[in-house]
Amino acid sequence: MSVAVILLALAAGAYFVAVLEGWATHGRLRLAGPALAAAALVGRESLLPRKNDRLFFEAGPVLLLVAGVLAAAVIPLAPGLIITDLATGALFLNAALAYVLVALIMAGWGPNGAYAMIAGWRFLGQFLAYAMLIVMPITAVAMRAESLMNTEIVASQAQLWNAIYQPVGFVLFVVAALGLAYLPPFDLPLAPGELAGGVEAEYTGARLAVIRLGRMVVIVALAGATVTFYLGGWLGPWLPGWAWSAIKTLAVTALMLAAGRYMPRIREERFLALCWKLGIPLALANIFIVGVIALVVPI
Amino acid sequence: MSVADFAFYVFAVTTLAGGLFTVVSRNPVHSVLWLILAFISAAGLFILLGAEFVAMLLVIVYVGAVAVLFLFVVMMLDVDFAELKGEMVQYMPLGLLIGVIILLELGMAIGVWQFADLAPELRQAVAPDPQEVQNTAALGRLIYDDYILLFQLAGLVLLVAMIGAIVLTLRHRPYIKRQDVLAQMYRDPAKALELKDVKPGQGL
Amino acid sequence: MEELLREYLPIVIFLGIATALGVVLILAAVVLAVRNPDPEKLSAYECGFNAFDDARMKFDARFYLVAILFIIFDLEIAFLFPWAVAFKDVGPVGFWSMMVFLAVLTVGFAYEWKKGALEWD
Repeated sequence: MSVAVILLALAAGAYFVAVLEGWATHGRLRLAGPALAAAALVGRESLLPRKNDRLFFEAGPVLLLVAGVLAAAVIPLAPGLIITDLATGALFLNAALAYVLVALIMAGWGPNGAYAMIAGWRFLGQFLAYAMLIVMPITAVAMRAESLMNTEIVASQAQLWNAIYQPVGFVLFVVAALGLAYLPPFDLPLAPGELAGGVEAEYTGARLAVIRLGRMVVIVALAGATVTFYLGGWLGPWLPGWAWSAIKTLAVTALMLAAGRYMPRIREERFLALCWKLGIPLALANIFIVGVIALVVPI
Repeated sequence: MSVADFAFYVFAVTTLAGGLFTVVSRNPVHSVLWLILAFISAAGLFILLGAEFVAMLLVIVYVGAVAVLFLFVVMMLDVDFAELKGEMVQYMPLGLLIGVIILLELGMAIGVWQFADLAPELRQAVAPDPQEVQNTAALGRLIYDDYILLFQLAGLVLLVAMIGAIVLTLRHRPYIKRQDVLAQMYRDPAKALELKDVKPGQGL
Repeated sequence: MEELLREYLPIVIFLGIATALGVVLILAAVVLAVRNPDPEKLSAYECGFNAFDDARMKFDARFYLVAILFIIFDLEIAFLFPWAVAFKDVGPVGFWSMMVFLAVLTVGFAYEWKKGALEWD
């Protein structure tokens, strides 16, 4: 039952992300756009480049989709409306999202094209930058909830959202999430202006549709994770829980997609320096401060 | 055969197959990805043992970090792997011999393994009841308080590893051009530019 | 034990659904889409000239040291999680023991920063 509901929610979310992304890149809000584009893609010729690595080329897009869907499996929409509430849910989310890297490396390596390969290595560099900033803020969240179970993390925010309780962690997590989903300003693995689509450069037809769908699902999963960890999940007055989750998730998605429009792209090297020299000290300080507050005044 | 047994065999076979293909695959990047497959199935085995936390860590640390490092090694090395494979045949007997010896040693060690009579109770005494506490929290209660010395030693080991990695591998390459953004931004046109009044036909 | 496995069953189902979805989409193209390949179309996309070399060549990664340090930090995180979960059970002793642990690693972090290991090099 809940499997079907969540799959539907995920599909709707991914579709909405696609609509928003079209709006963010082209400045036009077209509701039918993604459906038309997807139908066109599936009907179009799906090329297999010469000298390809068949296994990697085919598995890359599917793995990206699987990683996103699995990450979404531990995000609660409402109490009881979750695929499975693992005791290590927050960690499972991380573990699932680790495969985004594997998928993109496969997609980059598979077609034996220079653009795709460079983009794949670029994402590897980006991964080194954001990966620590995904896990370290989650620790601070888990400290407050005293659990890695995502429903308990939401429940722990009944008094005060984590975004207010630990704003530093919130900002770091959102930045890292942008890096993970290779959204602007961290979209150099795609680099439409320079690598002609990067990891997507050699993909055509249905395979391109799958790789794009995978990315949309990853974005929805990340937005859902942000809501669960920092914005109080399903908590909210008047409306039912699932509605709050949906509204918040879509708002975060819109924010993530819009943010890149107003920032210049950041090269891997600068992103790496930014994350390690500024992000990690801040994340450590965040853990320390949250710990001290929790010891002195438990909320 | 229960579901758990079936899952065990699936994961065990996948782990072994992943390990095997890591060794025999011709392409180093394929090797790394087979290794990742082996890690995932090993994580599945840990879940079957009830060690959820270790399973998640295995995926995060090994897939996230160790496999990435292997990819780095692969992309930085300019090794002719075909040639190495050729040499593999040459060293095969020696390798097999070592493998068999290790296997025998392991067999002997496990064969004579005996639990002290008190061992299960001693373990029970420190570990919280797995029915009541989930295993991440159970680990947390033990490591930082009861085993504080070992925990701090682990921190020191990590420090040594960090410093060791830097000392062994860091070398600055002065011939590389680097970008210093601040220096660029603070560059003063008055100092960088010199205007000369050149008379016609004379040059500088 | 069985309970734990029951928690993971939906994950397996979800994994199956996601894989099936991806595979079905790709297979749908085999049925629906036109197929009319020619050598030019199948060559790797590159601007202006033919790809003359293998794309999978040796690559000079400048940030390999960061990758090594990244593993060490990841292991540090491995210690942070159980601590975060048992945070209030272990009390001040546990808190300060972790702070000492983090301080030791911060020393290492400061060292690598000072040595220039975080530079693009």
